[in-house]
Amino acid sequence: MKDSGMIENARSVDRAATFILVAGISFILLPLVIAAITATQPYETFIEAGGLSFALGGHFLDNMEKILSETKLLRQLGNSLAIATIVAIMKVGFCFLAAYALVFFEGKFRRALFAVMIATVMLPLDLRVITTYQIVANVAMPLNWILDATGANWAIEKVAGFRPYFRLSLLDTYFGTAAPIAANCTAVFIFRQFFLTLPKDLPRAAIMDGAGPIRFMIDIVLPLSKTPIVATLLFFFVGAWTNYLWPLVAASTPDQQTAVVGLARIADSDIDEIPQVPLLMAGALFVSFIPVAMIAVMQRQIVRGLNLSSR
Amino acid sequence: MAERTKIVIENLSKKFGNVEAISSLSATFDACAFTVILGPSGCGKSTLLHVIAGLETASAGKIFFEDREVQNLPARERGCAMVFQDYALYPHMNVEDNIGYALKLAKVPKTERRERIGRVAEVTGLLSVLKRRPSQLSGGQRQRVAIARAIVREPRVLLFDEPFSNLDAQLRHDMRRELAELHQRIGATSVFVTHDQIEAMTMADKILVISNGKIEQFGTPDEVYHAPESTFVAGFIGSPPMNLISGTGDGGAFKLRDGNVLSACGWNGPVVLGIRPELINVERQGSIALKVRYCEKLGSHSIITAELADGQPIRLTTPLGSSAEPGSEMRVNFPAKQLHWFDSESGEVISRRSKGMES
Repeated sequence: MKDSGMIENARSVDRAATFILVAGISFILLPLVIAAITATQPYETFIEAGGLSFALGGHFLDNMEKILSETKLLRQLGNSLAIATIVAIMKVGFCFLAAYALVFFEGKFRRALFAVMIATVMLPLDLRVITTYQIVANVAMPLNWILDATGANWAIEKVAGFRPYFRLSLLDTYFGTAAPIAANCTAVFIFRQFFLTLPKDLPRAAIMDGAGPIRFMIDIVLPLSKTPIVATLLFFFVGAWTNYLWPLVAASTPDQQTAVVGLARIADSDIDEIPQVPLLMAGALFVSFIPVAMIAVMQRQIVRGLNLSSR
Repeated sequence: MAERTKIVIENLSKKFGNVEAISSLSATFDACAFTVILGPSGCGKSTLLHVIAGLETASAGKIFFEDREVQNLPARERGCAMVFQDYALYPHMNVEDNIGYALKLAKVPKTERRERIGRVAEVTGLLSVLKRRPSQLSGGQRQRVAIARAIVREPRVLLFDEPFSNLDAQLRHDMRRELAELHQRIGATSVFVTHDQIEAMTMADKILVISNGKIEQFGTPDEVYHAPESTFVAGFIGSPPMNLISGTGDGGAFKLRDGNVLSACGWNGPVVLGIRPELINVERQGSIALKVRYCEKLGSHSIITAELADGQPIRLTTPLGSSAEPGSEMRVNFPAKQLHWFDSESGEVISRRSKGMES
């Protein structure tokens, strides 16, 4: 009796869970469905309907054609591709190295370093966008400060008769857009967690075999970390792709902007005009195609790589 | 054949913060001998091995490999190889690459590498699985790969860190025999850490028993078994281990708390009497009465757990076929020549003179 009661229970729990899942999925998918439908409508249908409607329009290819010919989204897609790739590689590279140092080396300041890294997570780029802009606008600024503060500038002025001021702007460059986004240590946690699951004798075995720390990293840890590396690469690629605020600030010309920034520009055309919403939606589909395809193809790797409890 | 390398340890200490894992330990491991470091978990035996290997630095003291002082050398310059408890194979490399990794790092030419890998693979019975990954191997095969990886470099010193503790009983038995044979063949100075006294007794030339980072006894298996130098060694070696009975020496007799006399005794004051379970004679006219609590029948013999008159537990093994019912009485004798006497405070053996006085 008790047993059947348990099964009964499990079934109703199952049903409730399924219901919640379906509700959740519909909630998430509905805007996407609306976007996809709207992308097929001509501008006129949209105006006549007086807003969003569920009628398929058959103008999808026309809208796409317009995206390619009338906007710079294709070029901006290339920018996004480059920037997201740089961001993903830099993030994963630095975080991998940082986690490697944290896990496999003993040091007095290990805990303090880790704490500082955690602290930086509390200071997202959005919060320090102005300072970051100042620095990217002139990456030589710290050098100028040092020269001023140490009195070196004063000395040079005395001798040479001019005051040096260095200037190097990275605005409107791929690297200038990518680097501030890449300065982020979330993946340190992921790699640290992963490294801690490796057998504790593995580094010892490598030492006994005569491997130094670099050899151990390249020959042993790197190949073993393939799954989390692939997962975090994809994860950060998509993250950088959808990043909006900083790329908007860092690039001033349409030719250097990312696709997501360019997409937003389609919306604010003319003040008197109703925005080209179908075109906007078609653009949204166009822009999200690459990351969505990547996730679709690699979702198993992402789940495996970010799943910390079991490898 | 490896060079003859004896290991000399002088006043070695290792501290982790305030915790002293090894305290001022000195010992000499003979060249080409198989030395087993035996002790319960947490006694510092693995730490000692790591310090010898160079995986941990010594806090104080010296280590010599033959005449070379090595305690400050990095691990790779010491010429040791090590076999680990959880194998520590490289999961992404096949057996051949696992074995050959050290040679590759040492820049041994490829043809020579192949040849040497082939040789150790033959010795360790791995020729047929060279292309497999560790995950495709059984536990015994993995341990063989770990051993092959260690011996392929022809090290002067071979270190084993509880290598068989993850294997099942039968496999452990086979691996013990294989390793003993292998040791005969390659003759490197070997140091083997274990908490398993059977491994120690069967494989060791000499056993170093340690507890709490200190040496309890360093001797041949026979010495450790027949002449334990402390109650710790007596209670650790043997299955079941030696009985340790506390009482008082009084007027030439060893008395329990309740006044019962167990045997003659050459000492006055509190002492600990030790006797091996297998050396207690069951006799109808025995002078010592026991109350049987429990009887484990193991086929070849039985192990009886009983109580002395004052309630102290005692275990004895009886020969084939004989057993006893729980709750029943039995009478035994302690053969005078088989008694060991220990100081009740320090646990150290009281000099052998006592034996002479009794017999």
